Amino acid sequence: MKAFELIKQKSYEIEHAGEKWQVIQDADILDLAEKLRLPPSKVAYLSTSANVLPLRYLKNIGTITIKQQAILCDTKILVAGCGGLGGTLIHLALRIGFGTIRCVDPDRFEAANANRQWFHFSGYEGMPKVDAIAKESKKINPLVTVEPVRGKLNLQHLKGIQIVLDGLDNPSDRLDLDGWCKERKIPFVHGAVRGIWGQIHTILPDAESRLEAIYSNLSDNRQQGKDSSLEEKYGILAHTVTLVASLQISEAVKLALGFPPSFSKHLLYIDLEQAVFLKVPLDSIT
Amino acid sequence: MAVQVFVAATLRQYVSNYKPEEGIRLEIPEGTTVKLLLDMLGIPEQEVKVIMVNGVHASLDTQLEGNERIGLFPAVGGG
Repeated sequence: MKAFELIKQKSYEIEHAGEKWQVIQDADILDLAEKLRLPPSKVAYLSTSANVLPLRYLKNIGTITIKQQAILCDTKILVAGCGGLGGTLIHLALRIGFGTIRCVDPDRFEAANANRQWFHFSGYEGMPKVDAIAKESKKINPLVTVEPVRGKLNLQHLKGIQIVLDGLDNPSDRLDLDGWCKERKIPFVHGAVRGIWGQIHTILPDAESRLEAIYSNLSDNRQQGKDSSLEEKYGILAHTVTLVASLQISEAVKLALGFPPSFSKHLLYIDLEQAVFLKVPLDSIT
Repeated sequence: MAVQVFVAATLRQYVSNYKPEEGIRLEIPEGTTVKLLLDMLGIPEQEVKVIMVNGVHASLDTQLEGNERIGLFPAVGGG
């Protein structure tokens, strides 16, 4: 029997917000995936494409359409770095229902990650971050394919990726990643945080100005970009990380759905001390 | 004339006893540029990414007239 027919068989009708919807539950998608020997993310995509909505996405609809949900279910993103920003990016991408999330990070959890890193749970000290993500992501959304990669990010990790999200922890690695995104012509959603300050900038494949405009103070000394000791004395608070990652995911959704991103011509600088969001034109960056 | 300067994150290393709620009150001659202001404060200009004067984006060449509120922000790099 064809996949579509099996999906339809397992679906049922509900009424929501005055409209009738054909929906399907996670457990049935997972059963079908096993039967059809397909990844659950593929079955979720086929289902959504056939107007059978995985019930877990019901409250996405209205803001996005079922067709747009199908596009998200078929989108493959890379989250580079799985710490504060990365963990939040992955969690949000799982909830909203991107199809595939490749997660790359070389590190293990430490106790001091717990203040802001969403995949750090008590007792997870010493566990590789990507192992925790592989384990916990199934509980958050089993319909997403998570590709955990333990290691230092390299160009090969961008293969097959449609959108790259920045969850790295130093400018130097970010400049490398930006160069690879340029080479592979993949949109890059940069985000960075410190203390109660954060910044977001989306770099499209044809952008004239790239990340070095923001980290120009490091252009002569890339090693300095790896040294975060000066910044580390300011720490990083959970809500700063979550705010910046949320805006990065907002950009990723727009990019996936073909809408113009909001921060490709600007740097958004967030200062939570004064509670201001500064949308700075790129030519105003010194 | 005086201006009030607020500095963020790592730029605070260049300013002793910085109090975020007060900022820095500084007497400067009229027409002083932001670039000169940074020199006076001992803040390296390459560390400053975003300059706001009275809530409007400004540049190193912006001339100050007095009584302005100036915000100086560095790029951040953590994750």
